[in-house]
Amino acid sequence: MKKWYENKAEERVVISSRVRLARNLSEYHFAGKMKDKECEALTQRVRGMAAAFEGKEGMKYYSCSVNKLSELEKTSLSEWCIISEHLAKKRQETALVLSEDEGISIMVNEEDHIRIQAVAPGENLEAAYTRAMQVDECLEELGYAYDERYGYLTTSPLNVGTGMRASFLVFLPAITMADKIQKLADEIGKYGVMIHGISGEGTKTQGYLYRILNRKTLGCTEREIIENLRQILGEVAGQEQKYREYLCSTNADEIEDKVYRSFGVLRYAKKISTEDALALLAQIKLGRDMGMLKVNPDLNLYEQMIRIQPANLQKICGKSMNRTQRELYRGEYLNQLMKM
Amino acid sequence: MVCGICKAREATVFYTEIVNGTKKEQYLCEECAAKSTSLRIKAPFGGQEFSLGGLLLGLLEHSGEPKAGEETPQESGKGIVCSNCGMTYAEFKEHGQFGCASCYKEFGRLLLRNMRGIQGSDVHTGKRPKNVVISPAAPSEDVPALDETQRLSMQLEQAIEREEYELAAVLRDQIRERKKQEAKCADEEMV
Repeated sequence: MKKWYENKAEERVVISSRVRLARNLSEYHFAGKMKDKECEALTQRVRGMAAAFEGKEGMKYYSCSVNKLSELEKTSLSEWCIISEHLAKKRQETALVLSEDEGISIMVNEEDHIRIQAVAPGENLEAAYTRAMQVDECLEELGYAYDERYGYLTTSPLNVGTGMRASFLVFLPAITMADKIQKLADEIGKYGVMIHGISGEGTKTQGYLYRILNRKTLGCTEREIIENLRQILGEVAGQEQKYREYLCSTNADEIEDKVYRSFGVLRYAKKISTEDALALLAQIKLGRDMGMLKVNPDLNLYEQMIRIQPANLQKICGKSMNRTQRELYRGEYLNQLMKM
Repeated sequence: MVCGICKAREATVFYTEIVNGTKKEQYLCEECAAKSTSLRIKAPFGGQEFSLGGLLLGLLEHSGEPKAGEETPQESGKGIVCSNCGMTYAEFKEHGQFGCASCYKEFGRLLLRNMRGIQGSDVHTGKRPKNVVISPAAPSEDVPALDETQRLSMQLEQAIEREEYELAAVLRDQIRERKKQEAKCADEEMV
């Protein structure tokens, strides 16, 4: 079965839609106060639900103890955003339950007992939400911590209520080049929506990629959160489009030059760092989106942005490498990729 | 000079905080400043991006401060411990994380004041687990009960979910009626 990102080239602006649900079981203390025994019992019980998800979704589910994986495996999963860095670093018993297409991942014993994550390609929050809810309904049997007033109880009061964070992963090169990201953040902040770099809150963004997500989780229904976010996304995508058109009409030569220079480096450079590779691939994506550069139409550039990251690159190569070796191998890998 | 919190790294930030008129000054390293204050040193978007964690800590920080003899120690949060998990209110304030589901009830009164600040609301209106039925009685002594309109709205949603449309119509009319009355009362008060 293909992974959710393998189907075709990514969309121009919206790469993916994601729904994350935070859930806790009433039976155990929350993560910060959990004893080792409780952690083991919790992970066992959630992993035991895999068969129920398989029945509901008609696809295979895999599970593993995250704390027993090698550092390389953990980093690779976190580069794919399948697990969080927080989960990767935890010493206590933690687990991951993952669907075959990687569209559903369930982190066990993260900040909350259960974090359900559903991802769908492009602008399709509805699909992600529906899948997350299906899994949620299976897990509900384990006895969620729920309060009539506050809704789903979470470790942090920032997630209480629906326990839901819905988000879009977006590619915003033109807004970034126009230096309008901060203005956009201020603007959408008024509607309870945040924007931040891809590696999480407070991080610098790479490859013009950002995540747009709801801030509040209490006092609004899941549908309202989704609807609000979709409207904001519409505005953001519209602005990005306008700025792209503006760039095209005023700076087309410069943009084209930048795109082809990036192509040249990716095609022929012998050593490429992760940071450079992300910036260069983002230029290639912009060039393709604007019709300046012909790239293999089935190539998913977002997928490649993840594949060239340190842990995943070592997995492709099949051996562990130091930084210099990685940069050489990344160069070789990208040279091949750009042979179209 | 070394950092006042970790006592290891070089202090590069002089941080002044004024809360309720009390001034607190500290020499901190960048890491501790980013962690324990709402100050952002390397902001990615050229300056003002705020951090949720920082904001939360700030909000909770102010919640426990007694205002000149107005509040009992119980209300200020001093000495409140969750009987189920042993989490103290001070510990909760420090990390912004609850220790168990019971903390929500044990810290109920203190929490309610903050929840609006953090979330802009204090009542869940979204999905609920299938086996949870809205009880007609008040949920708890510590947490103020939902008002009648809120309760009716929740029952209405549940009725729609179960496709009990006749019941939903009755509930909808009741809510409308109540809202009308509330508006009337408010108008009268204004006059």
